[in-house]
Amino acid sequence: MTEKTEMLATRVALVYLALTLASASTLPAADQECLACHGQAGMKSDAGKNISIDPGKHAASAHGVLGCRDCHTAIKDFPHPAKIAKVKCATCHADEAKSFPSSAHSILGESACASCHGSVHELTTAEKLIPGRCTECHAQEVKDLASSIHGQAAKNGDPDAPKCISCHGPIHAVKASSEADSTVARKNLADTCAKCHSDAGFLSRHKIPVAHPVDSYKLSVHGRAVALGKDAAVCSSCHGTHDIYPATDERSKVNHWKVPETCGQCHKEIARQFNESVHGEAVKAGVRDAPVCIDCHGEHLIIDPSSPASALNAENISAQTCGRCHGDPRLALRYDLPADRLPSYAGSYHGLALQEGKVTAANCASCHGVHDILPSSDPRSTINAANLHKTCGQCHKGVAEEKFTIGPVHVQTNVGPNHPVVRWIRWTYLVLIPVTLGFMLLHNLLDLLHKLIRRQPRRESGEMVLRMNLRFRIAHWGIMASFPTLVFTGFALKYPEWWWAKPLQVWESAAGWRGGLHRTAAIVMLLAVFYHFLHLARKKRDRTFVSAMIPTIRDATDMLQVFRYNLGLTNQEPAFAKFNYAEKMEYWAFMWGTIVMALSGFLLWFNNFTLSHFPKWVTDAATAVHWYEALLATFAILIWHFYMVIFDPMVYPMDTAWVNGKVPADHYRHSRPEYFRALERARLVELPTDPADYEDEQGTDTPSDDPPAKTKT
Amino acid sequence: MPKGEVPELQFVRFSRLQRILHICMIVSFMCLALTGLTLKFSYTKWAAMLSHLLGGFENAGYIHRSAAVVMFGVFITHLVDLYRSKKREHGSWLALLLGPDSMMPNRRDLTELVGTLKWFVGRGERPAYGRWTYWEKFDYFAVFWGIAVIGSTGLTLWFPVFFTRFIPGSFLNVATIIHSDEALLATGFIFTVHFFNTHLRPEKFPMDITVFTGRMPLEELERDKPREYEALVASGQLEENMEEAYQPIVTRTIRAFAWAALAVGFSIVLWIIYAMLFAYR
Repeated sequence: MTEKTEMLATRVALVYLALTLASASTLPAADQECLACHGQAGMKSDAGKNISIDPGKHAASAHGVLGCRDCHTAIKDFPHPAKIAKVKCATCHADEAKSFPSSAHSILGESACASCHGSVHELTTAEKLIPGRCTECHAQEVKDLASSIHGQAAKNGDPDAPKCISCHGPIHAVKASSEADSTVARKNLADTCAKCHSDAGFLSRHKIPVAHPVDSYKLSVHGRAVALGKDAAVCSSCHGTHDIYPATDERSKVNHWKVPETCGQCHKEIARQFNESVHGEAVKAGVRDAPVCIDCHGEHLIIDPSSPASALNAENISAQTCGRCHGDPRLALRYDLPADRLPSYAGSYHGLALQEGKVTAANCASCHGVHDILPSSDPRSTINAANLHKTCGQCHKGVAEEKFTIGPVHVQTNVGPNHPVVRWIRWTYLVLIPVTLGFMLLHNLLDLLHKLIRRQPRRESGEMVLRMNLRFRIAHWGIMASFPTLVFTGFALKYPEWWWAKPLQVWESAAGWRGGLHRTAAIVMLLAVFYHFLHLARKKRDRTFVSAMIPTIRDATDMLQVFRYNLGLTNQEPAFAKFNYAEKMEYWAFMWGTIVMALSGFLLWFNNFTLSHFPKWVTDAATAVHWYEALLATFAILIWHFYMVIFDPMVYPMDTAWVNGKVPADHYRHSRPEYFRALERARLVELPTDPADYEDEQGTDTPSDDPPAKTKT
Repeated sequence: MPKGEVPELQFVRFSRLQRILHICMIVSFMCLALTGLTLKFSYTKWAAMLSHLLGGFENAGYIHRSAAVVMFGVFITHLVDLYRSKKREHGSWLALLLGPDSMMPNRRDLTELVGTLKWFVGRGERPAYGRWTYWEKFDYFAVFWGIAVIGSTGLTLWFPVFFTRFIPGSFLNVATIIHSDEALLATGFIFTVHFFNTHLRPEKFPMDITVFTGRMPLEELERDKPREYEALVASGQLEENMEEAYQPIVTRTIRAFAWAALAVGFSIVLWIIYAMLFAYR
């Protein structure tokens, strides 16, 4: 048998003995001899040590069942030797004795056991010692505990309530919190608290609503740093150690109003900034809706703002953090906060670019600051008029103080206050767009209906005329490639949340792909237009195009005639010159639109230049113009151009001039007689390539350019 | 048509019952699509406006179910008609299914599909189609599929208490998804593919009214269904399948109805495109 099991056997035997002798309140007969001397009160050893024993107290003590010789084994007979070996507690209490020397309480030395348990002959059981005996040394801690939520729970008889040892571990092995293997060491504290506070049953029993507090903490910046052995907040840093109160309690360190102070224990500079900020001032004024640290950062799950998972990440902060209050209509009413801050930001280039993943675009904090947010009226504020050039200059290099006269920042083109110019632009387009598109729809619908009702058979002689020579087609191809690209990439910026915009956003944050594509297409379009001007300038024959495109009075009368004809007011079919009014309108509208889009587009492309040379309303105006003109152009192409080249029953399913430049001659023979006669005179009407399909005449003319100008009227 | 002029003879392609069924089908399908889409896209302003016009969502529901009953009626009538034509003309189901004018897809449809694809890219002549082209057969059976899927899920949603005696309640959620998305597919298909095949093909543009008048000009038959035309000529049966064309007033009325249907259909397509681009969720 090992020493340990032997000891155990002894203890079991002793306990058995104790039970059988439970009725006997006095010491066994053999021990009465001892009491003859030691039973006298005040008996002293030679060294002056008290060696008397109170048999009554002994009998009532935890050791009451033991006889003198159970412990004082060295004494066999009377008189006993003058010098006898000291009784060792470890003889019976080996486990406690073994762990004790490394415990924090070992500093109590020789008399350590007695320090807590008292005189060995009047020993009190452990249950009765705590916390009373702890108080003798740890008075403040025990006092704190007693008033804390833990102490109050114990007082109310809650079986879940923790005792000293619940957190500090077995009392004989208790370690100082500074030691690595202490249960309350910084690194281990979360696990200790987790014993109860990660237990779902415990949380629901005590109606603690915060879910997974410890798991969340372990994932937080604090938990991770502590796990790596760094100095960071642990549970007790914020909640207190023995003086833990529920957050509703004013004494609690995590009480709403105490939060800035609690976080400020470590984050001193930030707390100072916060306390001076508009939010800090409001907190001091007792505004419950004003945010304290945890309202933005979270409590247990505080994530590094650079992580995409953080609500403070550049991509999320505006919508998830600032927007939570500044987008709340109730708070807006209550505190008279401007309600348009969020929508105006979301609709601005900054907001749109951010939504498509460009994290370098400004978010709320980029301009307003983080902890040091101040109202614009404060001269220290980043958005104070005097500081704006610096704030905007963080990104927009080169905005000079003296020239940077900024207007309202949070503007929405469609609502709210705007520069008069922007307002006028808006109203102009709001009239222009419906009127233009409405006219186009009406005109085309009438034309379509009329053509369908009359069901004019399509003459198919197979004769072709060259309508667009290669140079015109090259320019048109350039526009065909660039225009839809511009529409797609442009609308994808305006509507970043829709599925069709997503493919363009894949590399937006890294490469600026959507914007890059938009600007490339713009260059392609400008090159196509430039090429068009170039070949007009160089080729005399092509130049006849310009003279034929010039609007005349006749175009107006032609249009009226078309309306009258389509409404059934006249039977006289309208006839046109080389280009009819619809084509002229489209050509010149395209040129005008290109100039407007290019100008406003360049102002936005080179926004640093714009911001440093013009007031801000110029940027706002360019934004508005670019958007409205894009809407107008897109729908004009869809309604006007597509009707002319696709849905017009005369050309359906498609006018193929853009492919090989040729169109069926029949259409023109009828509707543009002068032009057709000129073509015929110039022998430019190409006969069918496979005459067997049509007539027996052989075509000999090869197509060339348009007829010379002189043949036209 | 001036008096004394001999009316043009046209080839009869559809029976009176078939034409009536198709008109009933159009009316019920339009009603179903409009009322159903107001529910599917209820978060768009358009849907709210349209629903308001229809007398509110509850009313739209009544219209939806009434139209569904009409659609079921059309379907059943067609099946009965098939049964009768089997007895009258074919003798057996096999003869009806495998006869020359059958709707059943067969090998020839496959070769015609391949031939058509070749013709699309300019590598061959257009195939000589018979009475039913492969895309018409596809349209026809797509309706069977649609009726089965949308009809069964629709009934489940109409009588949820009854059906959940036999099926788990979670199937109602599944039925909602199937009914809604299958209907979107059906609507999208009819108003784009079917409309294209019957109205937007260059040779048909802007409208083919054969399904309403039941008859088509002989040159159209010769051009569009050359194989059927030749078979009829060869068997000498062409004459007995010719009837006088309708009076212009009749065709004008038909055209007006067809234009209205076409306009509703294309409006729905625009609405779906708008909803998919700017509102879908």
